[in-house]
Amino acid sequence: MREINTTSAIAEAVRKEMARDKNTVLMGEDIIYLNGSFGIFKGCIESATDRCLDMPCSENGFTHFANGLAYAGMRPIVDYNISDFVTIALDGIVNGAATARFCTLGNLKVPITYMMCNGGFSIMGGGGGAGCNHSQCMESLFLNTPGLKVVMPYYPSDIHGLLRASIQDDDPVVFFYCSSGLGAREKVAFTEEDDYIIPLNNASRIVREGKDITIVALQSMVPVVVEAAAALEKKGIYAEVIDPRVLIPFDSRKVIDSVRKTGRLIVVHETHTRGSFAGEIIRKVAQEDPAMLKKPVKVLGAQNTPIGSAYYESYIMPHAADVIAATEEIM
Amino acid sequence: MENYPNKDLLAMYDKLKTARIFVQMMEKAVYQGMIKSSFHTYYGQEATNVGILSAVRDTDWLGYTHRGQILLYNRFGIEPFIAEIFGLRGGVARGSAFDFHMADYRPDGKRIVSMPGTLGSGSPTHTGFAWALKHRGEDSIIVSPQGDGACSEGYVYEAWNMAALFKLPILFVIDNNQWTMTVPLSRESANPNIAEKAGACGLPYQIVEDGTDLLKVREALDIGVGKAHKFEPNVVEIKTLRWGPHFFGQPDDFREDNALIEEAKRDRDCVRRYEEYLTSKGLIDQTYIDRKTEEITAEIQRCQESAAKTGIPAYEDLYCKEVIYANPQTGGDL
Repeated sequence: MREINTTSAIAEAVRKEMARDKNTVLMGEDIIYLNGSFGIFKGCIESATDRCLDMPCSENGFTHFANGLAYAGMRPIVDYNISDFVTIALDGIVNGAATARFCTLGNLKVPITYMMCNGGFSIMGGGGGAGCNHSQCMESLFLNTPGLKVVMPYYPSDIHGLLRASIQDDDPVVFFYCSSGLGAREKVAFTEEDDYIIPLNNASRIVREGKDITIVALQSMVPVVVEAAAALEKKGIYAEVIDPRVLIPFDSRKVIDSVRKTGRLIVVHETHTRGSFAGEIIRKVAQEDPAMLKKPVKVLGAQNTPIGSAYYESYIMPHAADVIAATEEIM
Repeated sequence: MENYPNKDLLAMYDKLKTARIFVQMMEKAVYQGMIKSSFHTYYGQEATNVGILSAVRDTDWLGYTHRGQILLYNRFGIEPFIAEIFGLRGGVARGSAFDFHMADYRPDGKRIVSMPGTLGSGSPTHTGFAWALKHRGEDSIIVSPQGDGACSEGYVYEAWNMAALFKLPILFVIDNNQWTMTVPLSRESANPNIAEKAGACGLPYQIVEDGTDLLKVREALDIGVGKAHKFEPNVVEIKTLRWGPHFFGQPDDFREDNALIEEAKRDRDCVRRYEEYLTSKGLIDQTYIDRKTEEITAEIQRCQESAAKTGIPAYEDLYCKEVIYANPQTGGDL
């Protein structure tokens, strides 16, 4: 066993992929000196200096630039620092990468991985609470664009294994790691020499088994819900906690099977509740058999307001106490 | 003036005359309801794309704009191109890509690089493509055309900057036809010389003031292509005039320069000027022109009829997971 953390898990995955496929290009702002703003690409640069690009502050332009690289047969990894900044680049992803293969009747691969840090709570070194344009979760922006795949794990081992699969995938993948998880550590059995790859399909993971209620937690909410589940167990309520890890393709089967068993469903995510992935999870369950549900479903997420700086941030995010209260309401 | 061999001069005439007859026939096709979307007119500004085709090497890559039909049908062939814009099964992409999304990225293919339908996005896309060409040590460049309106988009400047920073094998061509849909250049750009803005990004540029003189256009593009092959990214701005509306079928009562259009048609028609030049050199005469006109018209007509026979595509021709995803097993449900 060895200990890895979020940043080392990312760096190791990118380093291995850049060595595996010489068409892989790492590009973004502050790549060479800072190894990405959160230092997530440590050790990637030295082994492939001609394939690591410090781009000018032109997210819009360099996202299309990455499309051009992919059309020419390269495999770009594009870093946006935090996900709030990807809004500048949506054209190249949504209108460009997502449709390019379709426009050639399937005669083109667009193997681009877009990497960004999602959400708030604790921007590394800053103590968190960076406000309305540094703390948002942006996954919902990409759910409605056919052609894209969306990955958002929490645990370092999942980040490592799914990032490797994302880079190897021949389609555009939007890959989120999360701000509050930057300091996460984990003991893992795989070694630096092992190829630890987690396929993007069938990715939902039952983090904790239970019989009374199904709680689906997205990314930063996984540890929050795990904490709540431990407290609930002391009260005799056994919650099954599921981390989807990948939103597209969404492995709904494990969630449906769990709800069939428990009859109760809560979805917990950090992003605003309106228009979030929770709607998709509930749609899948309802389409399967609404009679499975003994009680109304609940969705816990940030309230639908912009996110205030500093202390204001935590006021609108779900906490373990909220998960416990919501569970008790429908038991 | 460059001394082009007669064979080249006549080949350019063939392309130019075809371009003019093609746009006239497509105008008719629009009004007959055969083109399923729209046809952005290049009427009057044919010299730009004919110049590009004549200046590049066969192995060079071409980007294009929504007014780049000349580049596309020359590389893909007239019949598959017509079938595509008619939305038919015999089209380049079985009638799904229309005329701004056609592409062929195979090295042994047509070497056409597509762009998203958002104005100007070709410039940064082509710039990235050029980076890959340089990285691989390939002996080819990419020509990235753009209209004057598109040059107001921020990522076009970002592309100019990136091309200059990385010293990429790319030639940006600005087809300055003086109109952005319904807005004249005087209300679109405070600087009438768009290439000067690219110059501010560190790119050398040439401006062809009279873009209806095919040979002047060709000479500037020859220089531009040559520089790009030496990793000197650069810009050629070609000033011309769009004679028609933004696309066929759009009302054109917004045009405040009708007198100018009439004058241009009379005195600065790139086709007639080139015919006069070739006639003065004794290379062609009226009989030659008439015969060419007849031949080209008949050929486009034949392509049109032949394309129509390929039929309307079915749902299955396009909507399958393999067309959308290279790894369909991880593509989610449709």
